[in-house]
Amino acid sequence: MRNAKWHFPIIIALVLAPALPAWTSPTAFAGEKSEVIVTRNPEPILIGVSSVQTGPASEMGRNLILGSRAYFDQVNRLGGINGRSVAILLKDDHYEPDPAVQNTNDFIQGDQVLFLFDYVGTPTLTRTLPLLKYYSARQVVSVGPLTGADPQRLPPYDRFVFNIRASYREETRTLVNYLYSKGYRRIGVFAQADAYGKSGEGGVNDALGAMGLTVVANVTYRRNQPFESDLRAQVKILRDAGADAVIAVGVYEPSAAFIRDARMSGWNVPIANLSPSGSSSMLRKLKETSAALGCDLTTNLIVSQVVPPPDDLRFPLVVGYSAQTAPNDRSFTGLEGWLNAAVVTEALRRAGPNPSRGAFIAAMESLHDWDPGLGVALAFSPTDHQGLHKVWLTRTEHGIWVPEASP
Amino acid sequence: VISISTKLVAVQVVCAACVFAILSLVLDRQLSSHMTAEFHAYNDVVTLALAKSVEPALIDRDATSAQSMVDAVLNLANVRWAYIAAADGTVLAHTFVPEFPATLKDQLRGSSDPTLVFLPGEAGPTLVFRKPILVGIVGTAYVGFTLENLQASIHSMERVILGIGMVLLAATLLVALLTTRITKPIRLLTQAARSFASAAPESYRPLPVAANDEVGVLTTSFNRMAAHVCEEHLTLEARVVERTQALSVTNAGLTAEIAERERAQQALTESGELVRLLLEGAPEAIYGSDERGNISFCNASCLRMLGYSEADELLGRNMHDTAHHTKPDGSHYPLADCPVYRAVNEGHAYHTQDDVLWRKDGTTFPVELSSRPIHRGGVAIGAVVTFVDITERKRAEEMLRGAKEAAEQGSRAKSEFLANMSHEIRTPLNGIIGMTDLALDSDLSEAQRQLLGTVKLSADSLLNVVNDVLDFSKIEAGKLELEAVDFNLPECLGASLRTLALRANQSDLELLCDVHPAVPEFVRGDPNRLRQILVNLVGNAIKFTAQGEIALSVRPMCSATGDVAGDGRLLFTVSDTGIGIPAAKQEIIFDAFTQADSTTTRAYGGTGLGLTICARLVRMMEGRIWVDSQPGIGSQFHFTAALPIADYRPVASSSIPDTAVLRGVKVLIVDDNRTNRGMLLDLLSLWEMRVVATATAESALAELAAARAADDTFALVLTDMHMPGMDGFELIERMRRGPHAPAAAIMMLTSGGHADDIARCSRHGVDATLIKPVGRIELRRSLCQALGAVSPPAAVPARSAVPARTGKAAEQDACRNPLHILVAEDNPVNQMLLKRLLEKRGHAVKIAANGRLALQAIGEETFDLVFMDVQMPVLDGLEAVAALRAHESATGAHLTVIAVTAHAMTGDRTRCLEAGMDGYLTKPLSQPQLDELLNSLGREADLAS
Repeated sequence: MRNAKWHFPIIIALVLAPALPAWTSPTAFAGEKSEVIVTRNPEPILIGVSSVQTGPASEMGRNLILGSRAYFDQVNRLGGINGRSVAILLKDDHYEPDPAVQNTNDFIQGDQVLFLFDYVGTPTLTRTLPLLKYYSARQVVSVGPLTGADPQRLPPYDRFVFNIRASYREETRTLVNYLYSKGYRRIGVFAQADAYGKSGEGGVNDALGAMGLTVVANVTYRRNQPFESDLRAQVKILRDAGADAVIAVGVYEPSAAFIRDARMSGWNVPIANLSPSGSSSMLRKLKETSAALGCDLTTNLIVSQVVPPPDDLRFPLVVGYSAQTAPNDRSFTGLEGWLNAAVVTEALRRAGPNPSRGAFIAAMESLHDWDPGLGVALAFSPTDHQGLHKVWLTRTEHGIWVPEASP
Repeated sequence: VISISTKLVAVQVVCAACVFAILSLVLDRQLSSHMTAEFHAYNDVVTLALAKSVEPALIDRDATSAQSMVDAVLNLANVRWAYIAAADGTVLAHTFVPEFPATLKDQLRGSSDPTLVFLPGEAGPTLVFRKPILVGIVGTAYVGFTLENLQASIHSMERVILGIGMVLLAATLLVALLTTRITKPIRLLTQAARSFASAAPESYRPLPVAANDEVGVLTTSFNRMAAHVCEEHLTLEARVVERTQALSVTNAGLTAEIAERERAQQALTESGELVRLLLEGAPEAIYGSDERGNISFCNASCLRMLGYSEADELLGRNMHDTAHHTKPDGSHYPLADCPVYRAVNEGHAYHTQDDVLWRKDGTTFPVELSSRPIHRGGVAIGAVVTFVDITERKRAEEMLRGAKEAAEQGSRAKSEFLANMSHEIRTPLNGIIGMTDLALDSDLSEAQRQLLGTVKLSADSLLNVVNDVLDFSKIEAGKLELEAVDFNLPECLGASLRTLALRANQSDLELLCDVHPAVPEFVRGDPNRLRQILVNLVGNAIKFTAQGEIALSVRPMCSATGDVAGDGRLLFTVSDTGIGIPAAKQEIIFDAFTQADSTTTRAYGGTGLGLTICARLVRMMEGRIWVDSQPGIGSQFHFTAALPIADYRPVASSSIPDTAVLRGVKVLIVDDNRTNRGMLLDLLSLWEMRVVATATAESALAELAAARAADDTFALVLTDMHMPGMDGFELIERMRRGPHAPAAAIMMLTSGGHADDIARCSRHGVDATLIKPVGRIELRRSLCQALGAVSPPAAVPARSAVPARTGKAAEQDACRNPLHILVAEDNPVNQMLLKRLLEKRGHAVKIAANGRLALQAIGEETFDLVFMDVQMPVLDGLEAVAALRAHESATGAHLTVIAVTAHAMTGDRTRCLEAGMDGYLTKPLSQPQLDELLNSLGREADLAS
């Protein structure tokens, strides 16, 4: 899928770079050897990020911002966007709603960020939505949150959020269809006891309902539980209810704990996870534990992803990501961060120098039929703030994630 | 009797307690109902707030946002869980982990607000409040509150009230006690004085002194007075008791001590007697020595051995000076070397077997002597010494040594006898065989030829018998050592089989050789012994097979890891289609002097040593030999041998053409024998030739026609000579006669039995003739030659592979390279034999009867080659060649000298080469052996030039 759209800017940049004056609009695609171009406007574009940076779910927040940072570093090294560099203000919300609301308020009140970016988690993001509505006159939007939940995709809050990734509803539908196509009919749900879990559970219910089926059992776990937690009670309930497959709406430490307890009790049904499960981190955790326990915990796992595998070089976006990141830093979540940054960079470029928040929103809404390098185009418009609808499936094979065809 | 003051105190305390109890009950009731009411109001408000906040989300049917709200309630104080149920009772959002409890809805059904519920897994009861959402139309909010905080508050309040009550009671009690306390000391003093006067002084207990006031001083004085009286009384009584006790203890001790001493005395006497008896009864001599070496004890054996009658003669005397003063050789024995003295002095035990002691009468005897120091309290105070007379033992050892020397002498004599036998038998045999060969080559009548043929056959048999017996003796004597040289295995196999090919051919047997492609070309081992095994096995196979084929196959052993390259062990198999061996006999045929059947010996001849020798040789090659056989069907002899791949490739291998020229060449094989066909197919395919194989000449013609039609003609046709139906020559004729005579090169395989086969081949325009069995290298070289890739090396006749020439064929080779040869040989028969053999090949020969004459001849004439007998009078071969080499080192010349020896013992070859010989021949000499040697010398000369 190396299309002309992708190569063209590289060639232009390489050919013209030496001939152009220093202040000309730089491009994100030039090679690393290009000279750093001094920007005319030293004032950076400020972007506010509040996400989990510590605690059991922290790898999600850290990997996401790692991917975005890698992209912005490259942009800044080449002279920024329209002569301005991009600066990220990062605050930790521990994956808890109240700090998330407080951080968001600080961003809007004090820091004068252009927009909010890379938020992580349903329970945190959904609580910041009323605040955005409260400050609606200031036109602050949240771009690319790592959550597929419904509230920010439905009125009244949909206009305050630009969702780049596909929704949980789309992910759960893909997983349910996949399990159905493999012959599984008795599906149980393992969900986080909060808005994220509820959102995923709702998606599963709806997808099963369309086939005339219902969930055989629902179990929950408390948010921010560490990997060491005992989740055998949850495994027993699902097993006793006769579930033959499980959809896990969780994050990687508790989900990995659930997989561990299921496998150690000899229950080897397929366990399908949603993208926020942090598949790379989860698999690493399970492999470490497998080695310690002397058994293989990584079999029969499926994860729905909103980006392709970070080593699938058929996608130009992944090629760029691989070129700018160390192999150990690469992950699905990191690639999502890279994608988010690529999308906002394109919008900022279109918004021109010194964009207002309104101009930025207009530029985001203009990203229609624009392919970030994934072979599918974004679908933003003034009436639609859902960018992508594509879901990739992966499953484990010999301890690594391999692509799996969607049904 | 209870005093009035005590009664007053009791009344005061009881009144205070009653008042407090009533007060606290009222207070507790008031306060807890107040707190509970407030708790309920708080819960009510929380539940109402959840119901109100979740209302818009429910109206939007947004369960996720509803979950967010429910989640937020969990952060409030006292909230244990919360959930939202729709009007139909479906749970829309909840905070339970791991799942929504099944019993909850039943517990809440029909009850009023608030309700106390009990859930499994929760610490205590939960108070549930509920509020309808939008008048209950969209659902109801339920919040469960924990009572723990409320109950904790009530409990802490109750503890405070109880504390106050305790303080009040204590204060009341204190006041009452203080009033009684002031009068108490005087009352006590009065009581004490009364009781001291009436009772025994020691029952008095001193009164406590409460304060330093007047009452205190009085009490102290009274106490002191009472104590003084009491002390005096006690002292007196104690002293009487003490004295009485001491007396009785002393008495008991004395009695016990007397008894103990009597027992010890008895035991000592008994054990001393026992030890003395034991020592006296010992057969070894035992004596004790003090730290100066003086005898402190000696037993009867000691006295007897040393020739004394009474112990008193020895006791107290210095042992070293008495019986150990002089060494066996008569020299002085210094005290410092004496083991007894050293045992005491150095604290170590000593043991010696080659010492002598001196008897009283001045004679000596050999002893084995042990000396051990005796320690008391860590200090050596002497030594205990034991010795035995070992005169008898020494004598036995002496006899044994003599016997051993005699045996070794015998063994040496046997080896020398073997060497002499070898020489003595082979030398006359050499003459018989050589002369018979020469006679057979001359013009003879048929009757003479038959007679001489029989002589030759008998002599050969005799030589085989002698060889077998000598080999067996050498192996038995452990005199046989294997060489470890690098050699070309396929050539070795070819050479082994060629010597047998004639015999096989005479019996109309096919002789086949199949070497697996993975077998290395150059290996390290003993080629002569390998050849001996192969000749024996194949020879046996020929002997015991009336018709059919004999196949030798060589393949690498798979190693333990399944690696075909293996560990350098090769598996050799000789298969025949002969009479076979019964199962019962298969075990014993490798034993000495055994054949499958004693009648076999009569029918087929032989010593029965051949297989035994093979088995021993194979064992020396780190392999094993075994047989699979079915009587009437055939036998398969297998053996393995460690023949690791050679370290280096001898230069000669470069003369073998590269297989690159063969790659892709299309070749047709025509052979009726399936084994042979398969083997050729494998080999040629290995060299990446395009091979088509057919079994008959007819199908070969069809293949040729088909190839021509496809315009892909054969470059080479490789055909067997003898085939049923149309034979090889006819095939060639038909090919030539056809309308489109192919340009293919033609190679013919013959069994080589008939002298005119080769002549016929060249008449028919055959490009190359090969004699079965065909070696790998030979085949490759011939293929390359036939295809015109290389010209045959000048010195190697293309037909050098012919195993047995007829006289005429041999004559043709004569005079090609006439040499001037010196033969140094003392035996006239052998002189003549060598002269005749060499002259028959056109060489000029001069004879020298010993080494000195040989050196003299070399000084006078120029020779190309010298045959040097090793054993000669005056100056033997080794000395002669050493002298020659010494002389040459000055001139820089080099004359080729070949050793000729009848010695078949190990080391001969090494000795010859070390002496400066260039080669080595063993008697009896034979024409082929000589030809081969001269050919190889000629080849070397060509290569050198």
